[in-house]
Amino acid sequence: MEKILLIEDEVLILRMYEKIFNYEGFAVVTCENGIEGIEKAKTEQPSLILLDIMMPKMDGLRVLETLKQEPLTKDIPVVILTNLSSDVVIKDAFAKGAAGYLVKSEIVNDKIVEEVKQYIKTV
Amino acid sequence: MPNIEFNENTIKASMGTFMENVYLIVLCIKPDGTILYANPHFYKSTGYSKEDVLGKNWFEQFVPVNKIDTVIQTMNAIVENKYSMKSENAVVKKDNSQLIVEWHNVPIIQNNSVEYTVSLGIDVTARNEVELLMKLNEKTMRERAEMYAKQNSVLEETKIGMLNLLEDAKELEEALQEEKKNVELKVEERTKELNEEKARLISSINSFPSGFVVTDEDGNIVLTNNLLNDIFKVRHVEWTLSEISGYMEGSTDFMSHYNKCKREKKSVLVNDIDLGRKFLELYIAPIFLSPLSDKTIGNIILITDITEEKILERSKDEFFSIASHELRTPLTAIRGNIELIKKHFMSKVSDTSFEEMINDIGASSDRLIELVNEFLNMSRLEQGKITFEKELFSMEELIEESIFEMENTAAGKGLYLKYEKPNESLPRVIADANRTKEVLLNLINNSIVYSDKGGTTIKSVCEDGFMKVYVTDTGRGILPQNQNLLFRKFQQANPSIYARDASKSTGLGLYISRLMIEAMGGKIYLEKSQEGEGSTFVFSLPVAKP
Repeated sequence: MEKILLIEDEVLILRMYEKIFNYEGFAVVTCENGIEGIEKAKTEQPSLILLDIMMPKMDGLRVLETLKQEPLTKDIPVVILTNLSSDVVIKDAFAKGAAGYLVKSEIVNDKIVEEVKQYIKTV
Repeated sequence: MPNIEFNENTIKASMGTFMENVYLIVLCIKPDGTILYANPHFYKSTGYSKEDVLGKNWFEQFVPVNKIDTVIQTMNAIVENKYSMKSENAVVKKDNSQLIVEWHNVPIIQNNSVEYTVSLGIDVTARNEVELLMKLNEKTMRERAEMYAKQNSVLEETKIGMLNLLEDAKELEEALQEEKKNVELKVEERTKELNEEKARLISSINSFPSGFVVTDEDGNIVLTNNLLNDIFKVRHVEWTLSEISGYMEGSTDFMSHYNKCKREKKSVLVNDIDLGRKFLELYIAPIFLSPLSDKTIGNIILITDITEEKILERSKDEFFSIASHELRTPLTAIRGNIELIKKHFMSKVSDTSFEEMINDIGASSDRLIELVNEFLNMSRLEQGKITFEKELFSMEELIEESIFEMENTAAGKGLYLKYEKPNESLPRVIADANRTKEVLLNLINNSIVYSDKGGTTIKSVCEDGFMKVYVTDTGRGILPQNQNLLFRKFQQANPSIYARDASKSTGLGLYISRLMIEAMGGKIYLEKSQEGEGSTFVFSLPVAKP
C-alpha cells in the first residue's frame, strides 16, 4: 500500500483529500503545518508528499526547500496542491524541486488520484 | 652847379632828363621803322638791351607778326598827315611774351617832312587784363545769376515739397496718435484678459492635484503651488531644486532625472517613488518656446502623491489573491466532497430526489469554481501578470490533441467534431502552446454548446506569415447587432442582459481568448455568422520563418 503525506492547513480540505485517497486504497498521513510536515516526512518516509503553499508558520515553498535539502526526504516526490495559480509561484515551485503542481480548483478528484498514481509510478 | 633860370626854354631843354627818368616808355623811330632811341623804362619793361634795340627795325622785330601791317599803316598815316596819333599795340618782349601799350605818337618834322616820331607808351597790359577779367566776370556773374535763379526755383520746389511732407507728417502723426490710442486700449484689454488668464492659471495650478514646479533654463524655481508643501509636509515659501532633490534622496536621484530631461529635451516619467510612507510619481517636461521651436525656456516638474492609488492597486491585487485562495478553498471542499458522495455513496441511496439534489449542488459548485477561475484569469491577463512562452509548436498536433479532448463532449450532444487537415505540412507557430490550446478549446466548447445538430469543422491555413485556424459550427448563429460585442467583457450572444444565455457561461471566454491571442501577437475575430446556420470563428498566430 502506497503511503501519501498530506500537508494542508485547511482541515476541511485535509479531511476531504484524506477520504479521496483512502477510498482509492492509499495510506494517508496528514499534518496541518509545514514544520510538522517535515518531521512526518522524515519519520514516515511516504511514497509521495502533497503540499499546500499558503500555510501559517512556514509556507509550502520553504517547506519544499527544506525537504529537498534534507537527505532523508530529498528523494521523495513533492507535488504542490494549492489554489495559488500564478506563473511566478509555479515557476518558483519547480525551481525548488517540485515534481508536479496541481491547482485544487482546476482539478477534479479522479484527476488528482490519476496524477498522483502517475508521479509514484515515474519514481 | 650854376643857377639856371627856369623858363620855358630851359624847361624845354631839360626834357631829355624827363625822358630818361619817366616811368613811361619813350621811343623814337624813323618812318622806315629804324629805332633811334628808347628810354630806360622801355628796356626795363621789355627786357631788351640797347644792342638789341638801337638801329633795329621796329616793325620787323618788336611788333607781333599779325600786327605789323596795322603799325606800318599808323606810321604812314602820321608821316602823311604830320600830326600826332594815338594807337594801341602790342610789343614783343625779349621773353616772347607781349606787352600791350597805348601809344601817343608825335611826328618830328624837319623841312616839311617827318624825320622821326616820338612815341610815348603807357603799359596798359594790366588794365586790359582787368577789362578782360571784368568782361569775363560779367559773363560768369550772369551765368551764376541764371544758376542761382534755377537753384532758387529748385529750392522753391523743394520748399513746397517740404511743406507737403510736413503736412503728410502731421497727418501721419495724427494717425499714429489714433493708432497709439487704439493700441493702448487693446493693451489694456489684453492685459485684463491676461490677468484673468493668469489668475485662472494660478488657481488651476494651485488646485492641481500634483505638486507643480516651474523652473527657468538655469534651474531656478520661478513658480510652485501650495500642494508641493503638502506633499513634503513643509512650509516653504521659496524652493530650490536641491531641496526637492533632498526630499527624494535615497528613493530616486531627482537631479539625474532633471538633467536627463534638460539634456534630451524629452519628458521624463518616474513611477512608484517609494518614500517609505508615501508613493510619489515624478514627471519632468521641457517648456518649449513655441510648439515648433526646439528652444526650451525651462522645465515643468509635477510631483504627484500616488499613495492612495497604490493602496487601491494593492487592495485589488489582494482581493484577487483572496478570491484565488480564500474563495477557491471552500469551493474546492464542496466540489470534492460532492464528487466523493457521488462516487462512493450515491449507489447506496435509492431516492431520486436525493440524487438530483446532490447533482445540482455538484453542478453549481462546478459553475462557481469556473466563474472564480475565469475572473482570476481575466484579472491577471488585464494586469499583464501572465507570462507567455515563445515556443515553436505544430498547430496540426495541437488541433488534433484538442479534438481528442473534446470528442466525448461533442459526441454526448450527437455532434461531429472534425479537422480538415491540409495535405502539405504547415510551418510551425511561435506562441505559447498551452494558452493557444485554451483558446482553441474555448472556441470548440462554444461551438458545441451553441449547436444542437450537425457539428464543428476545424481548418488551418498559413497566410502572410500567420497561421489561421477556422472553427466553423452549424449552430444557431449570432445576430448581426450582437456580433461586435462578442469579444467584450461579460458578453453573450443574447440581446438582453436579463435574459440568461442557455450556455450558462460567464461571458468572459471570448474576452479572455482575445486578451491571450493579442498578447501572443495574433488576432481573433468572427469570420462570418448566419442566424440558424452557424458561425465561423478565426484566430491567427505568427508562424516561424522558414
